[in-house]
Amino acid sequence: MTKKFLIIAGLLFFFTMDAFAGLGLTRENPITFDKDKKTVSFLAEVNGKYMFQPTRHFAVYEKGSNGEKAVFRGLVSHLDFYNALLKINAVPGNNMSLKNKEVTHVEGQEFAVTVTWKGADRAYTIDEVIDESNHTPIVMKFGGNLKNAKDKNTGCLLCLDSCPVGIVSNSVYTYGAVLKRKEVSMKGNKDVLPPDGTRVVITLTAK
Amino acid sequence: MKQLIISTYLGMISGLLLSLVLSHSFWIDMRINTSLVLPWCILAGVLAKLYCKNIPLTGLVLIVQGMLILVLLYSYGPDINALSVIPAIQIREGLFLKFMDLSLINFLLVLFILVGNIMLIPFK
Repeated sequence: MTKKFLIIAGLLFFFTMDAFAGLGLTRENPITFDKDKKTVSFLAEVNGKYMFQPTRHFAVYEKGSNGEKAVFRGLVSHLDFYNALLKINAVPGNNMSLKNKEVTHVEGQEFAVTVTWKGADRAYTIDEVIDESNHTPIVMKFGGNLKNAKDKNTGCLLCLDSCPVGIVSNSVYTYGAVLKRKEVSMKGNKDVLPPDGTRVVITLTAK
Repeated sequence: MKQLIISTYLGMISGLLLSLVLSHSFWIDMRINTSLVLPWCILAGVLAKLYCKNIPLTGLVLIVQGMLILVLLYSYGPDINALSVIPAIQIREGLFLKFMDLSLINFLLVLFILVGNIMLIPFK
């Protein structure tokens, strides 16, 4: 009897600790969507490195080739993320290509992006969690790019400049603005974000 | 055995130095996994000691340690948060220790630095 009780208590503790903020997000079930509210939420982890160094990646699937190059390591794959966005009827722009990337701003459904975690006072906007050198508000749009995302397998979920591979990206800057032309520099805001490895929920709400 | 531990230590700090320098270049950092030079440097350190008997380990370790301190201070200044995160992340990625917390890696790093230096320098 005691043994059974301990096992049940252990399992309850494990699932309570693992499930996130009432959304039921776990490593095994890292993404959820709400068609009525037009939101998609997924689980990610803070990468402490990019609070101190610049990057052009906001969130990347941890098993993608760019998995360690973003402010957030996404626990959801780029393909599942793409499909979840389609399920809330978001329309991809699909206007970016590897040829036009440096002269084209990404189009598609615009999203408000927020980040929250256990112990956070509230959900923080993307402009609060990203330290953007020009202080220009970030405008995230559903670029789509499914074919390139599959072919390149970088795992890119949300990029900080218009991207022909990332599923969602920042339409304010064209590709190369961060890395090549140095028009802007971006990194995680260390005054706001929790320490490396903290699990966060990133939520996209269609505007 | 002592020489092998010191040469492993030399490889480790050389790898850390190289990965930090590479990682500091935004262009390189966004293209390759800079931390992967770490295991190769450790291997090179061990192989160098096994095949070349006359390596001046003491001098090399002291030079590399000095360069490591300079690179860290140049890149991140006195920001203790950055200094406690960046080297540990490079080691965690490079040595495939993703299951480890950064504080544990920092503890092991300090321990390794102490062991390496105690073995290297005769404190008598």
